[in-house]
Amino acid sequence: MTLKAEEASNSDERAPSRGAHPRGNGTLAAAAPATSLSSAAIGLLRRFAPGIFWGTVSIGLFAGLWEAAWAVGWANPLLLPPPHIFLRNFALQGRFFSLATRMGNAPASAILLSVTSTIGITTIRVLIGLFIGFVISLTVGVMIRYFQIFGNLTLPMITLLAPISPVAWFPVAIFAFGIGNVAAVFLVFIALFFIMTLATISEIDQVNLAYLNVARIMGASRWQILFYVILPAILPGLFLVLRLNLFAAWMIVLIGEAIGVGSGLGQVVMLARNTFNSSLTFFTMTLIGIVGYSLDIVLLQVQRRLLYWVPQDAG
Amino acid sequence: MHNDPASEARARGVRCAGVDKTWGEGTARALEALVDIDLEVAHGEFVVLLGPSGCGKSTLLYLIAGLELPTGGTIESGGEVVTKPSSDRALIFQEPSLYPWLSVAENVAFGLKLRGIDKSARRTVALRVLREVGLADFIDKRPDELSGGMRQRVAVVRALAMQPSVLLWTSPLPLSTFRLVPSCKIFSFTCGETARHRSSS
Repeated sequence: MTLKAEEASNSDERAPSRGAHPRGNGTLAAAAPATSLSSAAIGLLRRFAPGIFWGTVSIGLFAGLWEAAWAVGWANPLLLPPPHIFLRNFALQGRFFSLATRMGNAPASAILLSVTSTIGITTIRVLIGLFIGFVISLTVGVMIRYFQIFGNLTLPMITLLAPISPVAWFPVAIFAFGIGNVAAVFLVFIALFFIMTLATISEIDQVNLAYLNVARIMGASRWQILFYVILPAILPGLFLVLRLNLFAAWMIVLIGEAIGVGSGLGQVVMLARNTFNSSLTFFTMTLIGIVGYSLDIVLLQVQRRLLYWVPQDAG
Repeated sequence: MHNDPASEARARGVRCAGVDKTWGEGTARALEALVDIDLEVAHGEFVVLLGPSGCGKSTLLYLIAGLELPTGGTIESGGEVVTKPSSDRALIFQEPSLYPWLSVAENVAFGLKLRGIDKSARRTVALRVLREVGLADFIDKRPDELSGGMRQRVAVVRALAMQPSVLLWTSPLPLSTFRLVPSCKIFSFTCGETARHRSSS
């Protein structure tokens, strides 16, 4: 019996194609190809509907409880204004987002611009800090494992500095870089660097030995092993650590801005606190929450495209 | 008749002389896996090592492959002492261990890529060897789209694509791979030789 004949009789052994499996939130992707825009839109809606539904219910429940507390008098509208109050006077609160609009009567377009640019500045600082932190910690982590002497010299220092909160680094940032964007980016970098370096080293040590053995048998040099085996093998784990630390980085930027780097959402929070403007506080908190959540989604999409081989779960 | 030195060297096969292997030598958890092993395998010979689980079969294969060094004795392959792994002494493991970030074709051609062979040549080789095991249709699939038996077959052709002079195969007993053994066209095995070896158990 030839091999080919055996293959034909064992065709049921073949793995089913990927598309047949239900994924993610439990709904099946639309089976028929979309023949028009509306059916494509419906398919998309069906996929995201459960997530949107439960998100709305969850947030709505929380907001509802808050409103109820206000209605019966437990929540003082001066201290804890419910959503319908702090969202309503957006036009009023939007003035505080930049110096240009704070005094006098600025037009709505200027206010919208200042709010958007404030959000933008904070987001860009985080993203740049994220990128620089990721690249440098990956490089340093690899060097520690590939150059013994370098590792012996730097690892003790890194482990010593790791537990120091970035907030303590704030004066260093200001002295070194002055008030402004660089100091904020530096704080994000510090928040990420030590943790990511230690994570990189740990990931390198845990690479599947079989992968390394296969590469060695194939005759790979040390550097070929690094680029063709180790880097692809550790990237999924590192990306997870990066995403987990995204929220920490986000918080650090806000703290840095609050303490005083000159602009950004954190500074608005500080302003609201100093002027006892609770509406502005909660309004800014809402913005911060939304942007932070969106950043996480963006990172997740980047991960799904870059690390295409990692099984995709709902998280 | 081939008379060049390379072919003559290849014709000498594998030779183990007085090989010892103690795992974790010098530590408290030292384990004597092999003691004074002698083994000669001529070129073209097909040898099966049989023994109870844990008696040192895989250890010996790892030593011949060069992934580990013996704590005593010498191992020669093709006339030269084995000091490091090489694609000429391909070892097929129990687990397929395909790289999940590479397609089947890229996995099979991995060794060729390390040698700098260009992409179209690599794909030609991959297609040819995958056809041998009936997996040509899966050439661009990812390992997670294959069943376990299929992955094992890809691991086998990955080793064979390098045209090794020594093929070391750990536990080929899963039916999907064992039946490949007689139909391998790259090596002609003379079936049936069984080598008995002295082991520490």
